[in-house]
Amino acid sequence: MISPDSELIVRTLAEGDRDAFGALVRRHQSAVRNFLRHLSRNDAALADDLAQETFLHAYRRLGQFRGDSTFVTWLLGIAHNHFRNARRRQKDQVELNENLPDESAGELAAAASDLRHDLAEALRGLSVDEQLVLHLGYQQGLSHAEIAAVTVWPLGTVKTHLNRGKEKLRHLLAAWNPQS
Amino acid sequence: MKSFANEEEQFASLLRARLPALPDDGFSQRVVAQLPVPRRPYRGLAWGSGGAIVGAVFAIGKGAAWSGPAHGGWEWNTSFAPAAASVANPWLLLTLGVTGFSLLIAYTIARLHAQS
Repeated sequence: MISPDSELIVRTLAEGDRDAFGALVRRHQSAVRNFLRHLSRNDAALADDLAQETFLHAYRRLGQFRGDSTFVTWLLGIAHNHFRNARRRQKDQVELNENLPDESAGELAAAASDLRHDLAEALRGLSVDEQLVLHLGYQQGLSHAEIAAVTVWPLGTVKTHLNRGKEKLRHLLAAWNPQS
Repeated sequence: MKSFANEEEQFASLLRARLPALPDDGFSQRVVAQLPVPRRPYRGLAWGSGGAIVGAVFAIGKGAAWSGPAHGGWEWNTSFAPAAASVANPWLLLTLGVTGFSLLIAYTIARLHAQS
């Protein structure tokens, strides 16, 4: 029988049960590592280091988890913070292309023929913030409110980034499938 | 032309398809191995308390021995009165009081740590 997150959290807190926390790590490692790989542009080593820091931080601060959000949302918020701190520390070493210019839909469509089979490349045409909300919304399956909790952005900002990102992708998809 | 809902589904499925579950590959074990050892705030206090009690008994006993060398050694019957007298020594009382007060503070701090 699979224990719910809440039960594992209580066991970790009340009994200092490291195995219970280990079960939480096994359950959520993929989401956290995928998220950090997304943020670090697929730098697997950096992402795993940050994921490790994220879980250690979560273990130390587990008592502060109030259950207002899901546990994985809370973890992704910590991961996002760790990534931003690491980015500040290593700004010179890690090139993140944070300030990619917003390409017009026409330019994106022109590039689309080369990107037909590579959605990842197409996503790079979006701003970092748009990529982030699309990743959290579609790939991590978070609601708008949960994305706002992870990014610490207002809900309206989340929706704006999501709509802009979707609109750009829609143009790309239309360019890839002209008959549609 | 496809409907908006179909278009939405189309790239939603495309986006979702890009995220395979990552195999653990020992990641969880590495994290668990690095977890800090759970704090045991009362363990140090227990050693401290034990030491304080042993020290107090030794001090009282020593006081009794010093106060009654004529008895020719330690015997409970003959040494009880001198031991009681040594406890009445204001300096020893002060020392025991300070020790007890320190232990009380240490216990309070340990309890606050345990609750945090």
